[in-house]
Amino acid sequence: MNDILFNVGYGHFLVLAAILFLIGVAGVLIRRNALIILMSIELMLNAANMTLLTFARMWGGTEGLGAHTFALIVIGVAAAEASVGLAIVVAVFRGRRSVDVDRLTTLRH
Amino acid sequence: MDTVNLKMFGIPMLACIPLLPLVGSFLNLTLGRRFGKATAHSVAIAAVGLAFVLSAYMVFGPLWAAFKAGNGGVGIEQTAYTWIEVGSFKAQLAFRLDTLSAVMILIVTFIGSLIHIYSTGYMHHESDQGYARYFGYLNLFTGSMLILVLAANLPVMFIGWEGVGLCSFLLIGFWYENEAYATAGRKAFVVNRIGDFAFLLGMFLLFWAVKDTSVANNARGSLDFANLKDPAVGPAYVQAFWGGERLAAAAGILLFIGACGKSAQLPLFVWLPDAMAGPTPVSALIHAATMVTAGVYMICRMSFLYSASTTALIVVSTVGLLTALAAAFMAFAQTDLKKVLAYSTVSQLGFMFVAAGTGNWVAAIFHLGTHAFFKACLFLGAGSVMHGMEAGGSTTPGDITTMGGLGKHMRITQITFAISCLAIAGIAPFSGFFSKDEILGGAWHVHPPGWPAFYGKLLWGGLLIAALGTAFYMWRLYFMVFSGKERSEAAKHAHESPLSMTGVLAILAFFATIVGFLGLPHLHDVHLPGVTHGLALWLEPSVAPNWYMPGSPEPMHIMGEASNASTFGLMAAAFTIGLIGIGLAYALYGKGPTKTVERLVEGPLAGAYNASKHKLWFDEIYDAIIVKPFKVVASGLYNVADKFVIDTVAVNGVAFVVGLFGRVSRWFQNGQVQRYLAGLVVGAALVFLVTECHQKPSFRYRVVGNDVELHAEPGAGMAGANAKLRWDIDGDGKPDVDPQGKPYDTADIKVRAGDVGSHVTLWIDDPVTQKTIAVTRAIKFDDGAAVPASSSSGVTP
Repeated sequence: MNDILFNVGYGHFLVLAAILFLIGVAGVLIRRNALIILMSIELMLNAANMTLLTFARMWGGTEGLGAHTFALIVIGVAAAEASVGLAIVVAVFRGRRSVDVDRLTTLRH
Repeated sequence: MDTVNLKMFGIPMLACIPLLPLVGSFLNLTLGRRFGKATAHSVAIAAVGLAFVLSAYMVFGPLWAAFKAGNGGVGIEQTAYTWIEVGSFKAQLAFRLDTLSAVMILIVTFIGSLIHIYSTGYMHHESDQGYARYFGYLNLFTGSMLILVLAANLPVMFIGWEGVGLCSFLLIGFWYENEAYATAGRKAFVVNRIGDFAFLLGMFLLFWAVKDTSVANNARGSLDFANLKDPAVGPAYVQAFWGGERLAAAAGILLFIGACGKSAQLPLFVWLPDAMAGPTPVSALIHAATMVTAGVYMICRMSFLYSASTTALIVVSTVGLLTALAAAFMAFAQTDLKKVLAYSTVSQLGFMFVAAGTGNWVAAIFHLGTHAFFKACLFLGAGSVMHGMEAGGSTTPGDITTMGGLGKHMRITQITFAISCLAIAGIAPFSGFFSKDEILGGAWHVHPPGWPAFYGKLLWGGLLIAALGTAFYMWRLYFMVFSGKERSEAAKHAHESPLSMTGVLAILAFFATIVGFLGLPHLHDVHLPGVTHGLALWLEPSVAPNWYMPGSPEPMHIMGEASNASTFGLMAAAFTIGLIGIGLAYALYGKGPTKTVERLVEGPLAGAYNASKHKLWFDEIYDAIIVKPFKVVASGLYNVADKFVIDTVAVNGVAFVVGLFGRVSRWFQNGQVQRYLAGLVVGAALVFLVTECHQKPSFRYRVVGNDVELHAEPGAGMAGANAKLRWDIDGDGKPDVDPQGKPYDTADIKVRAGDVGSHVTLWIDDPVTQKTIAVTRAIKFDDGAAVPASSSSGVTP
């Protein structure tokens, strides 16, 4: 009990990252709303960031900031991707009054 | 003269002979639609005519010189190119002109040319397209036949053999709109295939027999006739085969079955009477004069093989005799002009096979030649008669019961027909008399080693009966057609045929009269001019002169000795028999069928008459025992193998399985990105499953001589790669150091066996969970053998 609450180690971070990632995966796979899918993708990106930082701490200690920089870049890219994604979603919504991905089948065949 | 390199247009001269008609055929079959009739027949006749000129040049030029120099049997051999070369098997497209093939090419091209000319008259009612097609086929046939006779080896002969079979099929079914004619063509083809199959087997057997025998000139290929008759090959023919019989017997009989198909012998003769469905000139050329004699030619060509096996010869001669008798019998009751001639052809071919089967090669070829002339003349005469009857308005122009009295309307046809009938009936001095007499005399005199002594006499007697039959039915035919009163309106209005037909008839009748003088019998103390034995002298170098008897001190000549008395006696017998047959025919049919005939046919001879009319029910028997069961099997195969196995199981089954996969894959290949992602996630999970991620940390050890090698397996991935390791070697429960005082901390370490305790422990500090895993294993030394990894391991947190 004590261990879990106070002796927080790398393992806890990794498990949390894995849980976040799986939530993201499940969201992408299950949800039909394009907005929710975009949000789930953000979740996965953040889970990846978290493992990145955990391992950086494990092997690199506090010296060197390569991984941290990398995580910051991921956040930046994610923000850009989210803005583009949202723009697409908005454009789709304007055209079709719906953002249900199952109904976006024009390019299917 | 350098004969081997004789060329025309860069092609070996001998190859040009069959090539010319083949080119003519190619022109007529491809461009024939655009040709008028004059162009079509000009091309065809020019092709065959040139082939005849070229043949005559080759025979009377280079071959004559070779013959004079004593090389008639070697002849001229020319190779166009190497056709097949596989391992020890080699076949070249090579042609061979020796005195034997010379006779054949002259007959084929000469009679072939005449029949081409005759056809221009006979076929002029045909449409332009059909006309060109007809001459194309006729040329194709001539080319194939020339390949057959000029072939220098068995495979090339087989090309011609199949080619003439094909043309026979095409020309029998020439008027293929008529169902019965098309069926007749098919029947000829199928029956011939049976023989051809045996021919192939015979060829394979010969190849197998001689493949290891080395002869002087192996470059030619082992199935080359020149090689096959090399004395060095002889022992291969007499090696024991079935039940102590010589191999030559098996090979000879197989080849002879092929000849039975092609030359319409029992039991494969059934196609020839039906083959009369073709145009009459075709019947004359293919089904009388040339193609059907290919079997006889083949046996004479292979005389060296047959002379090595009297068993094969007894088969040949017996089948020949039975065929001669059966076909003569069947000819009695036929009422179709061409059918009578067809049976007489079968019967005469039987005569030739008896000659070949008694080793009397010269007589076989002699009769082949004379028969080619008089039978072609008879068939063309029949064509002329039918042509006239058709012009007179007959719808069944071949039915002799509606004829009679045609002599006064068709004088030339009548005379030529009469000459040929005299020749075939064996009346001196017409050609058939001498050739038939040679066969009869040969059967009487020849004693192949190992035959029962009476057998030759038996053959002679049988043939004499067949000859009587021949004279009777041929003259019955003659009287029915030309004598007495016209029995139908059409016969009254019949008229003579055009010059292109009657001229050919006259030429053929002339030769049917005189060619017999090329083969007069040898007499003692009477010296006839050399030309009267011309054929025998000419053929002598090309056919086997002796029985193949290894170990016998004296070569055994095939031809027996005949005294003058016996020669003349046999001649007189044959002559008398011919006269009796003609007299009988005159008595019964001289002025049209008499009442006596009617009484006999309805009374005492009714059974025989029916048997003859239905050709001894051969067709019905074959239908019952072969065709019907075959059709049952075929329809069974159609229903089970084709409709069920192939259509239902194979074709629809494949479609069903593919469709099933399609339906399954459609579920996730549906164009929705999420489905694809799901696949990706499942795939990634599977990849992790099969990697070592889930393996428990452990270590392996191996005893190598006096050392122990230890290998840690701390688990895969980053955690495993960065784990800190400690080793307890001596089993005291504490981490150890190596002799240099450095702690053991690597995955692979090697320690001396003496330092190792009963247990080794490995501690792994997992950097992620920050826990220490201890693995302890007992170490066993059993003779240095490798110890399996998973003997015992424990994990403690």
